[in-house]
Amino acid sequence: MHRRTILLVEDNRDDELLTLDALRNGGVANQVTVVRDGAGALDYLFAQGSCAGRDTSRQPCVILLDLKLPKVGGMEVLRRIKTDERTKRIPVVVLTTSSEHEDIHNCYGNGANSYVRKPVEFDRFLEAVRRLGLYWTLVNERTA
Amino acid sequence: MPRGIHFEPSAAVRYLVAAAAVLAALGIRLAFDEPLSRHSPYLVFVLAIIVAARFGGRGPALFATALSVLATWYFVIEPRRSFAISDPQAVAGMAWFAVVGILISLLVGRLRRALLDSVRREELLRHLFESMEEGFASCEMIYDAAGEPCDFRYLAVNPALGRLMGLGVEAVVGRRVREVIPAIEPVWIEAYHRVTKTGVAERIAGYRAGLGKYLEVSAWRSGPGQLAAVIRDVTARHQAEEEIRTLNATLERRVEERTAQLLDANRELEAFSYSVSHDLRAPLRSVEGFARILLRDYQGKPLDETGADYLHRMSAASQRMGQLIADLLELARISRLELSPRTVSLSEIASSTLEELRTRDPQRSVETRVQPGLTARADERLLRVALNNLFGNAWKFTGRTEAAAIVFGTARSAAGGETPDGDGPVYFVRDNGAGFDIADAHKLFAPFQRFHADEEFEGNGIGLATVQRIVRRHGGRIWAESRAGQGATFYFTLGGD
Repeated sequence: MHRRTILLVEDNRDDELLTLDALRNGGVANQVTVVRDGAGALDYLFAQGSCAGRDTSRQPCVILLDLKLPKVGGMEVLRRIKTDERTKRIPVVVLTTSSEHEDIHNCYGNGANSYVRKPVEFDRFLEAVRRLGLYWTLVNERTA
Repeated sequence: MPRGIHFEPSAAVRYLVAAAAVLAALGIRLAFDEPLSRHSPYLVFVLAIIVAARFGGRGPALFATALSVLATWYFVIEPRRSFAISDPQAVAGMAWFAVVGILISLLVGRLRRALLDSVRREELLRHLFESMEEGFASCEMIYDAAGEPCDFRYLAVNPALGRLMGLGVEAVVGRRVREVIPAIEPVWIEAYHRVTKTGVAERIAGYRAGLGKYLEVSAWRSGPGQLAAVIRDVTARHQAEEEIRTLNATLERRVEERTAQLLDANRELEAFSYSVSHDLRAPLRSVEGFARILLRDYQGKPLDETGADYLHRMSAASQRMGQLIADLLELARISRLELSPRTVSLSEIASSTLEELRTRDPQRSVETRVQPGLTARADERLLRVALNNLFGNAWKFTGRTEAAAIVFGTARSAAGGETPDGDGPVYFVRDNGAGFDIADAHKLFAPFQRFHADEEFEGNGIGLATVQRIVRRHGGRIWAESRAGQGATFYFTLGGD
């Protein structure tokens, strides 16, 4: 069975490594595609710019989106994803650096499916994944 | 000079004059004894009584009458030099003279009193007229052929009005107002006409363009077709009121401005503390995260390449955090620092800053141009910090540009997106580096705002916030122009003074 990819939108290289580590150690074996800014995320999702020609029938099964991004901010990316017919069904889990009420409130307002604090609070991530019905798609429990 | 009010001579003087007049009359009577005895024995004494009455009034006149009776009795009536009387007819003559003398005293005395009173009244009025501070005019309306009021003539004016009009009294009296003040507004003539027609006194206030003064006039009818007016120059009061009004308006505006500034500052502070909490946490997260991984994966194992990388990352994150804290402290210091402005050479600071960048990064070749001779009144230390940041940015963002170039100079608003109004020359720092999307220009100066991924160009986003704060503290403004990939130009002013 082919596993679908996870799109990680993260400009901070440290956070990227920590997130990947968390996913691996949590038993998520899916391929993770990393883009470094909002513009890159939009290019990837809509197969435009640097990603022109990408097969859009293979969209990621979940997007992990950082809010603080250069060029196009995370909130803007979220808005674009959730207002576009092609992408609005892709679950988006927002990565926040704090639990600022305003941020969280705005995320849900813009259609975010869940949020987890950085670096990925793994339990919370799994809970979000479970809620989104993606659990078995993502988690490959090790049978040792 | 107002003339003094007429004063009566003292009683002693008046009685002395009466006595002297009688004495003189006696002298004349004795000198011309023969003709006077025959025709009019009392004539000279009657004259003396008249003189005494005119000069001294009723009392001295009666005194002169009594004195004259005694004098004639003793010196003139036979036998002379004695109060004995030989001729009974002489007694009748003397009695008659006494009666006439008393009558003259009473009549002339009363006349004198009336005269004196009217003189006093007139002098009082004249004194008032001439020394009052308000202008006074007595005027006569002039009507045109159609019976419409078209002018008025000054019958009398006081010196104060002459001063108010900037003319002598003589230049005004007898002349028409249109001659004296050609630019007089019809509204004044109409008002004066109304007063003379209705007889209702009016108070008229307004600006007289012809005089360039604000006047307050009380006018009333003084006779058929005539009126009198008291004119006050209230220009000074008017100006004072006007000043208070402007002052109030200015004050209100300043309160509004200050309130807006405070609100701005508050918002900025909120955004700032929000950003600080975010950005200080990021490196901490790295340290914490990688430390946990190392503890988990490398217990009792030698460090491989990945482990070493994680350690490097922890170290770099700590350094970033240190830098961030240092920059934040610098930003706070700049806000607190007392400005000590003096004339500084911007060109020199720019050159030395660029030189420093060049020595720190000798393998790069960047073409730099600095307009010579640029000076400004500013705080040198702060300005150095600002230019350091601007040139540092230009240096950094041209790092991937071939034939990199950095220019510093002045622009005359033409190049700028906005037109500065009177706040001095517009300086600019231009590079041909990575630039930014102009749509993000408004976020440019907010702390921690980053437009480039750390992989591309590193930084913590405090530099431009610091520059903006420095420029603002000098009363100037900063703005930028750019297109992504085509370089950026930062314009700033340093305030008008």
